[in-house]
Amino acid sequence: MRTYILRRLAISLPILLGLTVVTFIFTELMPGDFVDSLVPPTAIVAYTPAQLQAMRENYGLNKPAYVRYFIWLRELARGNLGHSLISGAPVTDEIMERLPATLELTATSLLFGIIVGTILGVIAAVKQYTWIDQLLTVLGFVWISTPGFVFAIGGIFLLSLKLPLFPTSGMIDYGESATFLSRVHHMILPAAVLGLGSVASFMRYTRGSMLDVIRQDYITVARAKGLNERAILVTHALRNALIPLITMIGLDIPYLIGGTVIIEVIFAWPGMGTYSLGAINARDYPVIMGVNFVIALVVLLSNLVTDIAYAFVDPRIHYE
Amino acid sequence: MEKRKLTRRDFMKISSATAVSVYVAGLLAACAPVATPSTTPVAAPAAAAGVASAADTLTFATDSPWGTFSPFRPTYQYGYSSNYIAMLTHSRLFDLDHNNEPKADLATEWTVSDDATVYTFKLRQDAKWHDGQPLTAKDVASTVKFMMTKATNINPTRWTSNLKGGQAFYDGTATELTGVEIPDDYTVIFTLEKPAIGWHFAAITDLQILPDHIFKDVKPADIVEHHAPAWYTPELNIGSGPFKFVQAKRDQFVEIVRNDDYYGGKPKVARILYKNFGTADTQFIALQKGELDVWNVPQDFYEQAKQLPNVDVHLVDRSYIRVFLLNYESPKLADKRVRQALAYAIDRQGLCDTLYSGLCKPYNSYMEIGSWLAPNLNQYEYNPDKAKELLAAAQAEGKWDPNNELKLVWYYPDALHKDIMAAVQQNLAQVGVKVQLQFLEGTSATTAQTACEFDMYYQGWGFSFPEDYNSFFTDAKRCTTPWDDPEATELFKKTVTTVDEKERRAIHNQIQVKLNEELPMLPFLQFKGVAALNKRVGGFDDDALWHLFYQWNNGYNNAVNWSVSA
Repeated sequence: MRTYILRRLAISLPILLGLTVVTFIFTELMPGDFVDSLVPPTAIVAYTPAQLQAMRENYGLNKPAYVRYFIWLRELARGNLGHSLISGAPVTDEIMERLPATLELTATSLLFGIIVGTILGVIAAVKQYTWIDQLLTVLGFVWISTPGFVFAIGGIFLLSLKLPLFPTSGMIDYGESATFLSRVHHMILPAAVLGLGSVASFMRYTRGSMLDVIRQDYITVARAKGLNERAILVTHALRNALIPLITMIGLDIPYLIGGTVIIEVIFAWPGMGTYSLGAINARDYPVIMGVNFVIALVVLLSNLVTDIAYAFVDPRIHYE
Repeated sequence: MEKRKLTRRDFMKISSATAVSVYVAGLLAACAPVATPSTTPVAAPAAAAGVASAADTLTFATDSPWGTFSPFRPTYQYGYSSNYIAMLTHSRLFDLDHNNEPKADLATEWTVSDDATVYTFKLRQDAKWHDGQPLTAKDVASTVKFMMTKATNINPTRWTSNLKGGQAFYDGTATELTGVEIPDDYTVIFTLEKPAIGWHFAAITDLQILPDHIFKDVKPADIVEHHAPAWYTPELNIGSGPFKFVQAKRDQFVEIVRNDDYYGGKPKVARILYKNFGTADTQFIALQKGELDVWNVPQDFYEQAKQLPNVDVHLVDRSYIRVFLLNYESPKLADKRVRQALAYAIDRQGLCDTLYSGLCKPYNSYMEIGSWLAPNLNQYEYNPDKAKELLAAAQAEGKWDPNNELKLVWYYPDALHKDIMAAVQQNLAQVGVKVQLQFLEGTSATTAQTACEFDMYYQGWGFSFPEDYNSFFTDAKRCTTPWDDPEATELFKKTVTTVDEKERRAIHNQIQVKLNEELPMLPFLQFKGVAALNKRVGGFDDDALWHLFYQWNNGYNNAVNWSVSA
């Protein structure tokens, strides 16, 4: 097991490095640079080329791309992600300020997805081919194929305006000291909207997996022993049916993190999504690189953790 | 010795317990009171407020991240940023009203010498900083010096290139700034290198005065960025305006409360909040719900906003137009008749009526400030036949090739503009001009513009002062070459040195007529802004409404009168 983990970590390094190269190349390919984004089109005449050049030098943008990449890499090795061009603050600090908000939102969505998805999946499996199953199938398709922003705006309209259950946006009530409950209150709507896609996929996988398990011999044995149906489903069937879902969790995390960008912007959620979108529009290179690096790291780690967890949960799996 | 193996059950227990506790701890930790990202410890902000009910709070929406939080003028660097907050927490020498006329603020009177080189300002004597210290001419002088220090990275060209000794001071070759003098505590004199009419409009209207007694100890590099921690720190973010800074959380909100000792009178509203409500859709719902009091309504929400029972919708005549820049270098557009044909071929009134809900009108001058608009300009009313005639005439002389395809670039990302550009393309196709449409996102668009990679380039146009246009047409670095017309260049130069306003207006009229005929660029539409105010908001006069659209260079001179009813 230990060798397996070490090997996985060793493989992760070149992957991470490759990702930074790709991110850097794409950032470079975006037309314009930070100075262009600073100077509005109407004000461009107020700047002489020498001034623009001086501004570029000021931000180190006059150096060739590969030099800048290696500088970035060198600093990364020292644990330094650089300074944001917009704010002048260290990228690490800015990310650490926002990462918790994003992780909280993703974690809540994931939790929501797993719990609701599993319950609905079990129902769908038990009631296979009934109207409930068919309704859930249709809903599953709708949830998985409708873009998040539709649910987001619809959700705000219905559950904040028409039925004033939740705040329209934000993470806390301004000013007042935020209580635990008010935070949960702000979290419900964005997390549910973000998690709907996950609900659908967990539901479908649980259903399939449950149907598989229910037909196994040991379930028949359990029934033959005269156990009640609830005990059979929850203790015997569901526990085994959940094992494949661990893979799903691993696969779901990158989707959720990607999905937060638009959800965060709509709900004014002060996380990484809002932050990185602003950085991309302003060509704030250190922030773009830093955010992508951290997200890649989170995704790689979560995949690794999922794989390891798999080995623990399912005794049939061995990594050697 | 045999190691005790971690069993599956142990693993499941430990990992789920860890996950749950990390999650809950995360939620709880984030419940801590709003902290500023500052290294300086901050006093409990809520205590400073003393007022905190929604009934006396006026709420604005702000985009994320709101533009400039620092009181330094955003247009020196951050063009489209807004600086609402600094406009309310800080004071300027004078402000502009909705007719672009100056109104006294810190300066009670000012004079400009006959040769437009010496600008003298007399300051009021009752102005105080939020910490109670008196505001004097020394503060004004040190603000200017501070801003002109290279380390601030502001590079205020209007100051460095005009103020006597400005460039030398900026370059660090001189330690004294000779162009600024303070003969007594309440007089400031700015001396320029050479005559510059209206320089004070361009340079001073948005100069937020900073307290010398605080900023003399601050390093420029530490505060220049508009999200620098200093601007989030009540001890440092001290101004002399009608409202005092309390607290802010980047990308979330800014809270300011009234300054009871404001020299312009005690503001009626106790607290103002700038809050990030997310995207326009969310903002609209917040407006509807009453969470948001004042909103700059985007065009596509205009009809819907009018239907809301809790909201008054106001139309604001903006001195803002959009134009098509034409590529001076493109041989396709070298002939004047071709350019005129473009103007005749597009049904601009039709566009306004159908696509813009009537919120615009065709405009025919580069001069978007209404009071300076020349009379008797050719209106270029929609006339496709005339356009065809002009093109045919140009073609007969080999100046137009019907196979030409014009590349039209725009940078407004919304669906509305896509429709507008499609309509323009259709209009032009009807007279036989082929157009290739290309949307470029903001930064890419600027690159295309500077590199001359366009035939027509759609952009917003909003200079604040008549003398600002000079540089655009005559020394333009955009698209590498200026509009090469010696007569116009001469006239433009004359505007900068003609002190007499009547004479100056005459010259501007002459230039407008000339541009109207030559069309080196194509003025297109002038817009009305839409503002939605919750019915509980009072005291929002024409100036206040107008400033909603000009927050980057005009003060809120009636903010003391804003009010909210319960």
